Amino acid sequence: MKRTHRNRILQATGLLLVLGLIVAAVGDRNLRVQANVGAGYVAHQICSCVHVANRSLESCLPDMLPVMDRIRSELVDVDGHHGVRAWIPVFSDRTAIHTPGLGCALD
Amino acid sequence: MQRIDRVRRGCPPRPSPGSHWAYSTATTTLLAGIVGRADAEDAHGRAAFIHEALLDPIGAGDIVFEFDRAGHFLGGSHVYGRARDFARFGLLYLRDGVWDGLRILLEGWVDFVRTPAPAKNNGSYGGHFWLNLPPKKDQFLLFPGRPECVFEASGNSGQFVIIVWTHDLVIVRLGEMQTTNGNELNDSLATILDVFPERPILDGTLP
Repeated sequence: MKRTHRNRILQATGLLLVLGLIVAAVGDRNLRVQANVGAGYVAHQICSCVHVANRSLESCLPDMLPVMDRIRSELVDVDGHHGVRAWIPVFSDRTAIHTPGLGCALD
Repeated sequence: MQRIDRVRRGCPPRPSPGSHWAYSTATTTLLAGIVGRADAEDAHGRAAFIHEALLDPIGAGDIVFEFDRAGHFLGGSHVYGRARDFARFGLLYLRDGVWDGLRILLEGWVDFVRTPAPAKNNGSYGGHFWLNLPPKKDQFLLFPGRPECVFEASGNSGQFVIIVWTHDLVIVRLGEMQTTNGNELNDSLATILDVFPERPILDGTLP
């Protein structure tokens, strides 16, 4: 019983530590700015790659810098306009929209 | 990019004009903003102006220039086109701004862009073109041992339009090179240049 109790305390402490780190990271302005820049860059670049250069999403992904591997992306439609959404869970979520003749721009 | 003008306001130029050189895409974007304001009220009008004044006359109408969400012309980046479109752009500069008898660029403009910008710490950067001239500190010589008249428009991650007056030649290289050594790429491009013989400079007449 005593060991189980101690384990629970350790688990709770670990959980609180992890939660604290997540809250601190999300609250860090520099990290959020960097995440926004990264997600915005990926959304814009891939949107142009797909909708201006007429390439597939799969062929565009290797063009991104290796450090951007953790930024997820998908094709989206917003009010009838094609675009690309890129996001880092919890930190940032950006979408670039394509306008024929004018290319892509971040929303 | 939502509002490129916010970037402009955040980066005031500190040294006096002509006294200091520093490479900056934002500078090109500033100038593009001035061009954009000169002739149209919105992005569609600005795009139409670029097409009428530059791209359509040289047969490069498929090139797409991108704008931010507020309609500002980015200019310093995000220009998409095929290799042949960029080759036509280079050929326009090779022919001193004249296309098939029609003057597209101001007389003297090409000489301006291939003349080093006036600054003590600049040797190899002209009017937004890189020049094959002796570099200053923090610059590099593009193609060692090759003619000084070579100049190039250099894009992101290894994309080039290289203009070689002595060889009557334009070389276009597109594609990402994130995993390629930049010096090796330059050496390869110089090797391509060596394959072509020198030719007399033509006078604005298309071959």
